[in-house]
Amino acid sequence: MTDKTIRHIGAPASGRSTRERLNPARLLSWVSGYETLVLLGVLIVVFTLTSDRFLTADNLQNVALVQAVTATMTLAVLMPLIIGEFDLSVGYLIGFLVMLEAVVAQHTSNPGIIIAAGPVVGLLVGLVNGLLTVYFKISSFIATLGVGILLSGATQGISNGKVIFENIPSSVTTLASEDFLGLSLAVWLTLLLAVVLFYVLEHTPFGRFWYAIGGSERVAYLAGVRTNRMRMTAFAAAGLIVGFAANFALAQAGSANPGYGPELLLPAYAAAFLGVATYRPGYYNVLGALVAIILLAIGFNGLSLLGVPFWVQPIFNGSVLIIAVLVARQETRQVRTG
Amino acid sequence: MTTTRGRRIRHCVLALPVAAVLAAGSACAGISSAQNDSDAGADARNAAAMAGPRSDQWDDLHKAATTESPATYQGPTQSVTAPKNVKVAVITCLSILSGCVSPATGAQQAAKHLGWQVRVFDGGGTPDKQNAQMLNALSWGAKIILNIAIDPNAVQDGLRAAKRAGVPVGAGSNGLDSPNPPVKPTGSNLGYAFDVGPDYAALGTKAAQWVQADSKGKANIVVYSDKEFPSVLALQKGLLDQLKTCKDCTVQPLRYFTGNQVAQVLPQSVVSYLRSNPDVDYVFIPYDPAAAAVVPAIAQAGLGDRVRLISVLGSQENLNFVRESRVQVADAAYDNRYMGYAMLDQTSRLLTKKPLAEPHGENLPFVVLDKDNVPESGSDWHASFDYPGTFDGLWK
Repeated sequence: MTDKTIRHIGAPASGRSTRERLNPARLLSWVSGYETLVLLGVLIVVFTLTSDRFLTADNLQNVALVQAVTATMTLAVLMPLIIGEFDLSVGYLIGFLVMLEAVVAQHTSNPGIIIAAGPVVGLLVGLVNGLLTVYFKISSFIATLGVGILLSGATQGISNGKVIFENIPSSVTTLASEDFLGLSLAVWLTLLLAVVLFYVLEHTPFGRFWYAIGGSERVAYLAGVRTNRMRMTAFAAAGLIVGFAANFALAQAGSANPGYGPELLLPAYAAAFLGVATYRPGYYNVLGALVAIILLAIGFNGLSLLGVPFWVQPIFNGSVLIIAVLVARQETRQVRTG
Repeated sequence: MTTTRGRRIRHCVLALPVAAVLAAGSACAGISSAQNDSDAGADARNAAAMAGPRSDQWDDLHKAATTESPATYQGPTQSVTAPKNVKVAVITCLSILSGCVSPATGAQQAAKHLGWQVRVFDGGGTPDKQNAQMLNALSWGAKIILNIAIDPNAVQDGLRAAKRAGVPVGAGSNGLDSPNPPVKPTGSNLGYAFDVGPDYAALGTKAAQWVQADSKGKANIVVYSDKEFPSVLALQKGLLDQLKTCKDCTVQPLRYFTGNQVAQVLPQSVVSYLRSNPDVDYVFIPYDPAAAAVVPAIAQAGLGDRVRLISVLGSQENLNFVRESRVQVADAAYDNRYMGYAMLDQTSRLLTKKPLAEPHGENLPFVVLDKDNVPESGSDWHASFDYPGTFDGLWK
């Protein structure tokens, strides 16, 4: 499972003719697994040529600034996806956790307690999702949807339908307001989280077991993997990571809105799906997800700077997603059939 | 919906002159004897109409509600030397909603007078997109950002970035600024330099006047509210205060919902409530997108003949309901094009470091629209006086 599934074509032999070297199929094979990166490069060139505002430090900083929550949510949904499950509760969960942290802030000014509330409760909710899916054998699609809807009610209940913006300590909002090397702490923490997850997924038995379960739970079980326990941990990890995203969201907004959260579900999944086209085609992976987030963010930013009509951006996002996943699927087939 | 016997009774009563009310009322009462309990509201209105002198009172109230306020230009009168070549970014709450887009369109029209460049960014209906678009607007080189119906608490990232870049951020349609009770940001949160909006409490008062007049002082009304929006709370106060003056009206306990419940939960909730409270004959929904979800649900539930719905904003979809008398029969609207002009007027004053015009809402005109004064299909409601010319005169 940890073997590289991408077979990169080596450098062309010096004796080959120019015609051979310029063969389109051969050129394409060079970028195999990195088409999304190529598309990103093309977009950057196009936007740089068409807008003098695009390739500036300020603009690129602005692009990165608002990606912390979306990126963290994408990392969260990756965990269940890797083991072949869905977690549809994450959108409602982040809304609930942000509200919970804001409510906690009404009772204590201790930022440690406020910041810990999200990840701790997120972890517990993730365990409940895992329990329902793994031990009660409810489809993850249904179980997590049910938990999500339940959480949306809880969010309304603890907020009483109001936006809470009082008593959020400035030490909490510092995560979003303080910069380091031009990027907010939230962005750096998101990158740190991505690095940790990349290491866990790619270089530890833990990650291998998850990918093994995603490939075939039965085979993984016969190979000695404690599949139930590992599946539980994937859901718990998703809840925990959503807790981190809740911290970033509360820091960015400085308030909690009872309607916040559900809208983050689909962008997170879109980025995760788009990520399968990069680095390890056909497999959910951290690097691919990060590239996908950057690609979608650059597309959104560049099209906005060009002043395109508002309906163009969803068409762009949808088209990129479909094309990228089709390409990844084709490559995965080629790899599997040798 | 409009061809039922209950509606005929209402039309019958409204169409007759006062002198014939007694006779007509008797005839209509004869028809209504076969109606079920849900026609109690219509009967009450018949009775009220027969009260003679009181009908003038209802006519006056109806006229007060459906007459624009102010009736003449009451905006700023002090001229301002507008700066040249200003790039204005307008971020809409969601560009598929006409109520979000109309002020931006107004700003684009006003910009032509000023020689400014206005670019509209779609906020996409989510804080993430709205924050991102504020940052895109900064990258575009905006000298000012104007947010339409976007809660400042949700776009703190954008506001912080704008502050760092030295770009002011104004707003419209939030109800955070005068003539509404000013809502200041708390703690380290940032707010808007100004927020142009109508006097929401006065708009609520007008809506209540319309309900009183329409029901001849016998409305049994349920008011829905959303605590997320200061504008809704201000409007609700005006509405409820005016309804308190209606001695024979019944105001049910407030019912709350949130924005993310509009599509699914709210319509079901309203229908269930109306089924379990058959005496309720008026429903107030605080903004048009929510009403647009509720109207079909009420109609499909077969309750369209029994209840009359009023909402707020003046969105075209809702004005079409009013035009067709399809459940929604009135809409408390304000002039969104005026809002665009007023936002650019305040921008001129802000950028030239002149005092902002008071009130910050610049006396934005508003009105209650019903079948008598709803604009023709495809048109927003605009005040009758020539404010574009007046603003243009101020900016030279």
